[in-house]
Amino acid sequence: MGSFGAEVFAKPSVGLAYSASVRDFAERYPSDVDHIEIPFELLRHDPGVIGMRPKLPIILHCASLSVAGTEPCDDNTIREIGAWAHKTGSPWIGEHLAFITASRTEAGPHPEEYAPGEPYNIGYTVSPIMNERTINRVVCALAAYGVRFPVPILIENSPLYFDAPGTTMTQANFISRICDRTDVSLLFDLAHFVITSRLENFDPFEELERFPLHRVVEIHVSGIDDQNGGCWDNHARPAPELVHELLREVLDRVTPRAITLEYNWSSRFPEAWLSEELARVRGAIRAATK
Amino acid sequence: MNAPSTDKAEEILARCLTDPLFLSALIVDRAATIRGIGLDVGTRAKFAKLDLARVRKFSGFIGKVQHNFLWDHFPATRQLLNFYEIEIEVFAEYRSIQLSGALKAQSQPVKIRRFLNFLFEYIMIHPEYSAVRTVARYEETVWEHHQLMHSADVPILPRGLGKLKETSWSHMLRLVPMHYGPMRIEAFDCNPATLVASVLDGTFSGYVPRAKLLIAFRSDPASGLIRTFEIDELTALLLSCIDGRRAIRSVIATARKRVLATLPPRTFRTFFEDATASGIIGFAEEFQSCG
Repeated sequence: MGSFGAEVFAKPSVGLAYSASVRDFAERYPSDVDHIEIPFELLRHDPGVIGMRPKLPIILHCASLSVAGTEPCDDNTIREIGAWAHKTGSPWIGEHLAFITASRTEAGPHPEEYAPGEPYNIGYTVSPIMNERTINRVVCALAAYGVRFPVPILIENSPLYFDAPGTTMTQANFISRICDRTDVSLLFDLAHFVITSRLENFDPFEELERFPLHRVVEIHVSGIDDQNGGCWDNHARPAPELVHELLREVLDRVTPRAITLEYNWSSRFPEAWLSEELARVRGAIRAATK
Repeated sequence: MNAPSTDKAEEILARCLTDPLFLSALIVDRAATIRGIGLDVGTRAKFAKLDLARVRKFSGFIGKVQHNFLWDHFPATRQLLNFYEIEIEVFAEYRSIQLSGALKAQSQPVKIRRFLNFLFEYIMIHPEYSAVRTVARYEETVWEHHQLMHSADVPILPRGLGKLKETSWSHMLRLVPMHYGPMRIEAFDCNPATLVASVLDGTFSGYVPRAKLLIAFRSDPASGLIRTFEIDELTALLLSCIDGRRAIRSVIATARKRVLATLPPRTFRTFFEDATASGIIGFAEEFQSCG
């Protein structure tokens, strides 16, 4: 896969998170999609994905570094992420501000599955305990991993689903503090932001004032579910009106280099919805640049 | 919260999300479970306020996302769970099975089978969601047909779809009928295809079970498509007696032994003629019309 010039992302590039149905959609409507975002974990499992047609610019997404976790990412994984960043020509690596693994100081339920001392692996990104200790940890992790990759790391705001014990600050404050101490750029996930607004009980439009928008390089757009007494991320349905309103508000203030629509959880996500959502996002960009 | 406490708290959260039994123990008796972990006073106080019900739902949410592969073959089932707003709860309940050590690293078909078994049990306890069972059973049958079509055991296809009407009854009785592609018959309490269609096109609004309905699922090996059609009990019985080895005489004898003792031969002949004409069955050997 050849690399592509930075000019591709000089204006907001509008793309889709990879799935088999998104691949088929991009093949049928190549001019509708500027880029494809592909998870490192998928490329690791199925390198053939990179051979998809048409050959669109790729943004590498990642859920393996566990930058807010107590357990450092293993060296082999870091090397592979770096290699894929190089191979895909991705302009950056989007990683969750989260932990995926955690130290294990006591035997868990199935000790036979783990070597002694092997960490818990949740298999999903979890918003961390937001306090000074974690900020220090994230700052150290970004410094340590940053030098290993050919491109910058963006950190993505995680959705908050419960108040973690030991949290002492809001998410906007937490992310701002990390930005103060590093030069990291941000991947701003609007659905996650809305979900967090429900838990932290803030008005998302007002909270934008406190969010370090000037660091935003990429934006994620996806759906949300109200279910079972909570608000949940859902990449299997279109973004609600609130997410589109927030997008317009953010675009009035900053110009990201890429906007990625994450509709990659259901192989049955209708193509008509994909087209409609892409058109809405392009319309918002046009309106903001008028 | 001091530094080691933050690390310990993260470890406990990770354990809550990977060890459903531990989480259950916390929910049942938080104080005793926390005492057994050896936390300092400050961290214990923080955990005393942790909303464990939300943590459990989040664990279910993770399980839900980790089952996105179900969308490939069970889109209406997933959509209906979402319609009833029970996706998170179902996967939260399922979490202890999903993460059971012995069952973790298995193939996708095994994972699907395991989840369906759980789902059917869940609906037995929650009959208000019976529509989910109907839809899941329909999609399960279609999925199993796909599995069969893609398995190494390519079905032997019948030949000689000739003019059965011109064949004498005595000759016909010696013919060996077989299904043209895999066939399965299932009973439903409504038309499942209509129900699934309404779920997928978003018009589903409620579920009203009706009288028992027999549905035949037939795979067409040539096109790879699966057809479903409603059948009556006589057709169901005769189709289920056809195994590709027995001659028509034996199929009829078996059917008579079961429930159809008084039926005249003409009824059976009509069945075989119609089933042949519509391409549902053929014959194991080439037969010629012999007048």
